[in-house]
Amino acid sequence: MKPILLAICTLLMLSGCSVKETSLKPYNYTLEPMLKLKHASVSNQDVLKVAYIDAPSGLNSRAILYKKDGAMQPYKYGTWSETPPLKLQHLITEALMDQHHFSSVISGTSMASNNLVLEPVLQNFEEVFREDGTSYVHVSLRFRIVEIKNGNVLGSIKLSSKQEVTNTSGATGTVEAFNVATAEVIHDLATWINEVRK
Amino acid sequence: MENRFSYILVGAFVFVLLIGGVLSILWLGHYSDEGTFKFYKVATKESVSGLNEKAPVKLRGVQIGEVRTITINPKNAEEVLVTIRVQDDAPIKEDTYAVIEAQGITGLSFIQLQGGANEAKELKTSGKVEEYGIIYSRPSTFSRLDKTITSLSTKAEMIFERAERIMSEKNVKNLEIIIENSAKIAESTSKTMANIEAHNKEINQLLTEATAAVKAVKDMSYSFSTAVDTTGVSMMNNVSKASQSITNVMGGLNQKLEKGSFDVDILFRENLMPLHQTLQELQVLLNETQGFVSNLKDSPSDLLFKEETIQPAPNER
Repeated sequence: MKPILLAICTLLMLSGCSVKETSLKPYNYTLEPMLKLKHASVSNQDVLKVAYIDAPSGLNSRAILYKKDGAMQPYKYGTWSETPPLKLQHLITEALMDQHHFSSVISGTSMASNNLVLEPVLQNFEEVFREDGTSYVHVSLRFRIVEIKNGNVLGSIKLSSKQEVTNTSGATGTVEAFNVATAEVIHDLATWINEVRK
Repeated sequence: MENRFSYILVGAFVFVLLIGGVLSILWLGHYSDEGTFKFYKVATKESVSGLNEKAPVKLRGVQIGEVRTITINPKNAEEVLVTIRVQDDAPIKEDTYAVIEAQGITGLSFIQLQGGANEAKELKTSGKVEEYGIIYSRPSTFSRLDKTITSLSTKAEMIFERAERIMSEKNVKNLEIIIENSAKIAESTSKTMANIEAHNKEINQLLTEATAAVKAVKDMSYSFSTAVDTTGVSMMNNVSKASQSITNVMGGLNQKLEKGSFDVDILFRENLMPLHQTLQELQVLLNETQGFVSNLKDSPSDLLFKEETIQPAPNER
């Protein structure tokens, strides 16, 4: 009996010492570029697989990152609902599929057979604060398209976009800027990939 | 009167003596021509210098005749024909041969006839010059000696010339190097032999061990052979049965594969793809855990007291 009482007292003391921060819970934001690509005029029989986006460990998290004075920090009251690499993979897959340039565009987890692979590498996906307090978002990816049959790299390109953050009401404005920048990058990607594989 | 008589007597004596001398010379000269003779020709290609007419002809050292004429063979310029006259009863056989030899140190020569076995036929000759029997000569001792010395001299000269070539400065230098190297090799060989001798004991030990090992292998081989003989048949039967079972299993598996109900590729994709997704999520979790652990490392008390808090972004204030 005595040990039980002692344990209960200890737990009460510890809970009393611990601090529970009474603040807002962070909002989950989803990357939604609202992109609508035009239908391709010509189509081919290729099946393109969009591989999982390779990214540095810092970008492979749900934190919305900003850079100030050279240091990367997460937003306190905002996080991504999914990690940017995973979300970008889905967005790119859907956008290229809607374009109907390829016979089919599949994601990395698909069981379908494919003859082409798009290998994206996420290089930048952050908000950068200037000294005057204004900021912009920087989205940068490198893409390689590879033919599986012989392992040849058919093409490689680095696409990036910088968008000013106009809405300064927390992470919401930043996410809006990210949506615009992402849309621009995916649009450029569609244009480039249609040229590489006509 | 007395003086005149004595002069006549002396003159008569001298006259008689002179006549006697002449007669004795004539007598002596005709003496050697007495008896019957036969003639032969000796054909030789050697020089006949020192050989004169009337030079003796001897058979085995016994004088049996003399040289009559010496001429060059008109049909063969290299050959000298010496006509000899020998006593009629001298045994000149078909295998008799002539040798021109010197008479002491006088420089004169004579013809020595040699050979002539009893069973050989007599060499035919005739009274006519054209039909004289021909005795062929053999080189004389001096000639043979001369030839031998000449040949030896030529060979010696050749040897000396070659020796001179061999012993040229270059070859002498090379020889020196060879000798030097030979000395080194000898020294090295000596050391090697010393090492071999030193290791001889170890080699002997190794050989002993190797012999023991070979014996053990032989015994093992015998044991193995016995084991195979005794249990090998049943073991092979078991192996055969096991093989049959495996064949059956593989056959069933093959049928399933052909029907498509056991597609490795599909199985692989079905299991690997979800695994891939799980790994991605695990990676995210690891990143977050890494950040958490890093924060905890910086401030362990955060586990209970949560002192470190995330600073709001500039536009979150």
